[in-house]
Amino acid sequence: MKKTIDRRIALKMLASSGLLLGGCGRLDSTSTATALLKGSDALGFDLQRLLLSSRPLVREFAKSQISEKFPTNGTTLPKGEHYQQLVADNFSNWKLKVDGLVENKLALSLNDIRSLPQRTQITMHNCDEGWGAIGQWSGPQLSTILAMAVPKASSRYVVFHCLDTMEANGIPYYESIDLIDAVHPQTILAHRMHDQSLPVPHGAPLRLRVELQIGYKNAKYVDRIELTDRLDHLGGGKGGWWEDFDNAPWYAGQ
Amino acid sequence: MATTETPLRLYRHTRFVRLWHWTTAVAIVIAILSGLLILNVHPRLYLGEVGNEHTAAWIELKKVSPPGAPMKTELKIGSMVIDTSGYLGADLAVGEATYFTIFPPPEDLEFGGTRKWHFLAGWMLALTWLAYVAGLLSSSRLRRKILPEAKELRPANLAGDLMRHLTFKRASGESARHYNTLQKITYSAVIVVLIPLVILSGLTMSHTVTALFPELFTLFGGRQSARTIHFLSMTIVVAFIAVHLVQAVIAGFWPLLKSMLTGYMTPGQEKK
Repeated sequence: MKKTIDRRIALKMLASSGLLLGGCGRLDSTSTATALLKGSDALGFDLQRLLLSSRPLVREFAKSQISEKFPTNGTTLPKGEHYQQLVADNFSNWKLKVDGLVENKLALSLNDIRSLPQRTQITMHNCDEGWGAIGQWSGPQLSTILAMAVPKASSRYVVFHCLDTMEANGIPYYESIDLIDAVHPQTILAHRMHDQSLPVPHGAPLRLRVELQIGYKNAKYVDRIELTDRLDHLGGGKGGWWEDFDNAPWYAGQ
Repeated sequence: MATTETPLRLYRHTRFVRLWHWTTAVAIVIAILSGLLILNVHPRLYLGEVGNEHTAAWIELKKVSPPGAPMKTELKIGSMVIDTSGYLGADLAVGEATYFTIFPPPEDLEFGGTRKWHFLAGWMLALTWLAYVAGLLSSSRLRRKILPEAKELRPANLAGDLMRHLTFKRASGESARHYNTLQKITYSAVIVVLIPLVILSGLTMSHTVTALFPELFTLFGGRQSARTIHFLSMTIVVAFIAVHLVQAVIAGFWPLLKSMLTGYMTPGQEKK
């Protein structure tokens, strides 16, 4: 009796491994696989939150270690007249909007942002494609701006709405992080890179640097910051453009 | 006379070991497939901390033909160059950008989702490895069955074992009950060195893990070195699986497969 059950379990496992060879795509569409992936994603998030409970900082580098050339990825020049006009005006007519579940809605010009306490950090940017580069970023900590806006007690997430429309589906880029990563000391809104104004290919006028997470979370061309209690109303409901478009993990510290 | 003897029936693998073996097997298949799909979009491996399109790679698949011309590709490993035209290399258009990949990925592939599969495989591999090692340590199995004994490591024994392998001599009777010395050395290396190496080099690519344990960068000589070692350890895993399967076929595939499924094995009779 015992033997039969063992064999059945083992054969089942063998069969599932065979199914896999037939292609990840097909298996992914089954509900068991989706549940498994969700489970491991949730387990990964919980473990990372546990590991980060002592609030460690990521490494910072010396100026001499900055990469000579820093690759650009995703949008490198947002399309449309609106952005062209902003560039032509040197972003003097642009304002960062902060709204959603906040006590004080904000509209901050680049000068307002420059007048806040600044943080400069030299960190390694890593893309989920596998490459990395070291760069220097300067700007106010996101926590400073959030403190000015005073998040309501019900707020949980910070959503970044961006100026660049993505080629693949014509939807403007968006990303989100939770308040824990939002108030991390190395989470800044960079308006400077390598001691110069943030260049257009790297997200002018303002980009997020969330150093605990990888490439696609570091939204470029940030235009509006929204505090919210849920992410399911946003885009496809998974919390970010890549998350919705090709099922990228929402928490990307792994 | 032999026909009247009851065939020897050995209980070789406990349920725990069988479950570990197959979970690990499935995890490794998922890890390799998803890992290759990830490497596919950036087929360049570097040494040190930083590596990207503007820096030199240590191992790289390179397109050497101009745009529009028939594709010519080269695999560069250090200073060695292998012509891979016609075998490896494909242009992949994503929006405005063109990626140079090793092979055209499945059309409905979700790249971000591929990483979820890779992390699922990581969990399966790491958790079952922990359970297996805990099981080994809490029983005498590690010393009794896996680690080679000092006397087995004597050159004469190793040479004899090697000869038996090279002459494809099957284990029979009582000797089929135990792992032979080369088997013990290989299994020890896989469990104690290879699997931890795969897991640790993978974790070195995590911002979360390295924020807490930056020593991992020192251990592997930088993040990109860790990525390269992660890939190289995968190729050793593939080599191990290939030899493992070939050995199983030589030693009698079906009885071995049966023993890893049911626990029991009926080896051939010992020659008198």
